[in-house]
Amino acid sequence: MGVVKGLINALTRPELFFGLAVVALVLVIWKREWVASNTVGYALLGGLAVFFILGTFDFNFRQIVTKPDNVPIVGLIFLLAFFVWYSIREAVLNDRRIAAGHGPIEKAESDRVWVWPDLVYTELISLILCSVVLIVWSIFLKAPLEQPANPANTPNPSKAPWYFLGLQEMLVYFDPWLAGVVLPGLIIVGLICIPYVDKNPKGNGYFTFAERKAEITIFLFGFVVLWCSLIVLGTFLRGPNWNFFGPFEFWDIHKLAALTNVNLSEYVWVRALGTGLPSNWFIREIFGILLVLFYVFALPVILAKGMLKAYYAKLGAPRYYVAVGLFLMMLSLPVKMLARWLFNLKYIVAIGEYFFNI
Amino acid sequence: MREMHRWGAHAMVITVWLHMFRVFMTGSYKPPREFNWSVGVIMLVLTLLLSFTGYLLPWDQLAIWAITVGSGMARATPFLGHEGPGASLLRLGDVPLIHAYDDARFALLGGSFVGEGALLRFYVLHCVGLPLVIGVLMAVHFWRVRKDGGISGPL
Repeated sequence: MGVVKGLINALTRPELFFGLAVVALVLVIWKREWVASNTVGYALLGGLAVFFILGTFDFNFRQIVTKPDNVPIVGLIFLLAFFVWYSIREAVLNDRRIAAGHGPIEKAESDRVWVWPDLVYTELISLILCSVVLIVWSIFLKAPLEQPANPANTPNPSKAPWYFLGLQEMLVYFDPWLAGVVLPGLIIVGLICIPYVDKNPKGNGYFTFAERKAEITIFLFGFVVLWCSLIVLGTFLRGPNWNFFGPFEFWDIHKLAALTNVNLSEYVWVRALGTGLPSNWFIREIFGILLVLFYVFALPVILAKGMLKAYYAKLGAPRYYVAVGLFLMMLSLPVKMLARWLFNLKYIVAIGEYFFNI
Repeated sequence: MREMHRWGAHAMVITVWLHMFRVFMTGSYKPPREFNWSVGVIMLVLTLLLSFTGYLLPWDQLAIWAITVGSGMARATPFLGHEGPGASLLRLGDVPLIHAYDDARFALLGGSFVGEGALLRFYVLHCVGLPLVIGVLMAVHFWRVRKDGGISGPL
């Protein structure tokens, strides 16, 4: 048992956790014909349930998972696993129908009903069911109320509300002005932009994968891997001092993590060129600034001429640059994560003089 | 009662995400429903803001520190936060225009820390301001669902 727990603790380290999430996404999409079977769905939910039930026998696991405010996130894990599986399954079934010349199942089985009495009746039943679930949940689980607010006593760890923990996790890799202001703003703008940059007229109103491969892959990566899995990581696996703790690990407040993160400027000027850091910030950071300018402005143009030529032709310049610009912003998070894990890179551009760090 | 409010709030956020997931996976954001998708994204943000403002109101240790962490981001707003990039460029001679007592976080909290001003502000937002806005948008959302050919079905 100890060995298994140790293995799971090791596998959930942020690098591996994120890597495994990406591998899982690739597998789900690549092997979707296999994932679509009922057996896999039951096995997935059953496996998750067994993991959580067996896990609660462990004191540390129980402490963090049964914390009343964390229970909804356990629910989120199950619901998300189910709905990802379900939508992949429906998409695969529909793709088979479309390939065979029938339309999507949603078109064949219209679920149009009369508002009265059918829809109102369904809504009433749903209303009652939701109320019952909420009442039972509230009877068995008390909402916690902690000590009165005390500005002089900071708890460790101090966490944001759980739905912002993905953003708080980004603070490990980015400065607050990016992780807390610019990137969340871009998420909202990006979501609103989706229907206006997605020119694919197919797959409107029914599950499908074959007709919208790129869109669905990018969305699953952004929503499930980047947003939801980082929330799970931030809720269950981040403890005192925002250190990482495995699910079966005791939250030791004295745990030390070696942090030897180095700026790009130091890599270039001190380690590669052997001179000291130049005193002028512009010269000091010129390589980082060029790198960022290349990523933001030159890369979309290069991609338009090369890899994404077909997309550029299909979307036209304005749509293409908005879509690819937003996509590259989304990718900047995994890029920065990899740079941190592989090279201990702290900042690409570090102009502390103006609080401008990337 | 307090429990139902708390768990209901958590469930609301999760439900809204799953709804967005379904709408994306069925491609129901595509024209003619693109306007309703935009309304939905704004309502998603309002849902998070409602939950965020409500988080402070129990006024316990969890509340005050979660809001301290969450609102602390605003101080790093470019140009408008006193620790944001570019803020130190906004000055008249020796007088900085953006400092801890007039920046974006101050506007959010009604103070330079989470105190009585923030409690009052969040209370009014949570109970009056945001519900009014989201109520109007909900009406628009349901109206467009009906006008644009039903919910997440083929046209």
